[in-house]
Amino acid sequence: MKEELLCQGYLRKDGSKGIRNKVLVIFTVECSKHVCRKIADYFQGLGEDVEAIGSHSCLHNQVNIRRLLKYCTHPNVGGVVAIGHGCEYTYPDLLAEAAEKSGREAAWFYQQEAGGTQKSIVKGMAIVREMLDKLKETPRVPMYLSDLVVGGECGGSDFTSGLAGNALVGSVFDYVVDHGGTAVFEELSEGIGLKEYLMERGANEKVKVDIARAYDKTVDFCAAYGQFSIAPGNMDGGLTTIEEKSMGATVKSGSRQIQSVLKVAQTPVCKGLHLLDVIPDEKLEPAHFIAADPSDMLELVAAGCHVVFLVTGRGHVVGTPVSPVIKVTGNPRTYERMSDDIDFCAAPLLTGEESREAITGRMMELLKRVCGGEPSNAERMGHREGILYFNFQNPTEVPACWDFGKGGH
Amino acid sequence: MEELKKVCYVVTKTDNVATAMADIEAGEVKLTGDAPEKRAGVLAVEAIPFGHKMALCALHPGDRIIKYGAPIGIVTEEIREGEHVHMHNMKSAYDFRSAQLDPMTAHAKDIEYKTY
Repeated sequence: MKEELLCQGYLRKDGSKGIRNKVLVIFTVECSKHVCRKIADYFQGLGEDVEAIGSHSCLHNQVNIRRLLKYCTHPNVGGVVAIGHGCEYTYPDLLAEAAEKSGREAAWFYQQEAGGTQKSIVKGMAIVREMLDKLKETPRVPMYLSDLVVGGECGGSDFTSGLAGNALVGSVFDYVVDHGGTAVFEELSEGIGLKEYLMERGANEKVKVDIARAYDKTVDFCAAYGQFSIAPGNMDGGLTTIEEKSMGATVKSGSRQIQSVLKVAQTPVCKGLHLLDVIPDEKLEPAHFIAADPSDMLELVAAGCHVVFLVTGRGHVVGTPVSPVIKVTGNPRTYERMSDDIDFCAAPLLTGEESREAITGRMMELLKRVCGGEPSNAERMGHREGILYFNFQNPTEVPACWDFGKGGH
Repeated sequence: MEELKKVCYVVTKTDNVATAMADIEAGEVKLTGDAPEKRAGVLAVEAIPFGHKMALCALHPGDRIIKYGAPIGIVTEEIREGEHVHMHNMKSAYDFRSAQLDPMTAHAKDIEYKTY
């Protein structure tokens, strides 16, 4: 396999390579969100890569803690300031400690101890300013496709999603995987009717069983809520049933074998294609339905994705605070209407004006530019959505990989 | 895009529906994509909205609708060749709720926008 250069990445002390050099200002509860947002807003106004993200609840949740730890140690993140209120369950010091152990710049404090809103904002700003200066020294190293983790998501689907947008992302996934990289897709709730098809793509018996279990759980979950993942807009866009939408959605995973089924906030232990299961194991918790596309993309980020493709038919706008989002549509009308938001038009695949190989090549060029620092449209527009809802999963079963031990992140 | 006005796209050879590439009026329609050999066209017997599906053969209640080479739903009403295939004449094999939606607008009829 020939190594293909992707971009100049940021080398972290734990050996991982990122495509952005962000400082995360983390709130541990809704009560410290305002302070964190004010700090992030100030630096964003100066064009600095500083983001606010965090947990809204006074209570804590094991899955949510795992997510926060993954954001603190994400390859795109160079520094973390965790700001607590002072009486909530989630500990800012333990988040900062995890960040520090992974070689990130890290700091934490409680706003109650810092003296309230104004003093906390001033204190946080001083810390972030110092971190940004230190992060300028982050070594730049060549990053290859084999270092990359890409994610795929779809939202606002119409009939073009399956025929063009997702088909193109599927080709990109195959390309990345064939060059030794890693790709993650989710949305098993948009895999309804595809149990045998997905199982067949499992790399070994263990993965096939994991896929079957995750699939059955998803069908039960949707049936229990009487709600499958298809909405009026999808139908207006020509789709009819969850099965039809599912076929179109699953195309974005490409055609390679599935190496493992990941749980929320689990990163792949080997290269190749992975399926992320976001459906709760232990409780009928509506997280998945509340979450919507931005939060689902944040789940892909918690799985380690450096960059996420969002395929849309009817149009989409959102982004994540940690990883750039590249938006693709196969609907030429949508692209014309929303070209400020959508990065790439895959319609030439539908009309036959461009071969799949040619259009995949064009998309790879865009991917390399975005990884190299060119802002995607979501970044240009300042999109940084996503809410961390509670989820209940048991991740103790390590996902099996047929080449377990090779590579890894 | 002008010539797309009379084109329907077939994903796989075994499909029994094709997708309209524009708002299509009743009349002769050209098939593109993976259309079966010697099957260049189909007569649309009614208008097919942009992105919606047209039957490539006559279909009967209980038949499966095939797209992407896979079953995407079950026929609920007699469908003629060239007819519009949508929520009014097919349903999901899994999702019982979407069968309750308004077949044309897909609005949920089981949720009221009213207070008590």
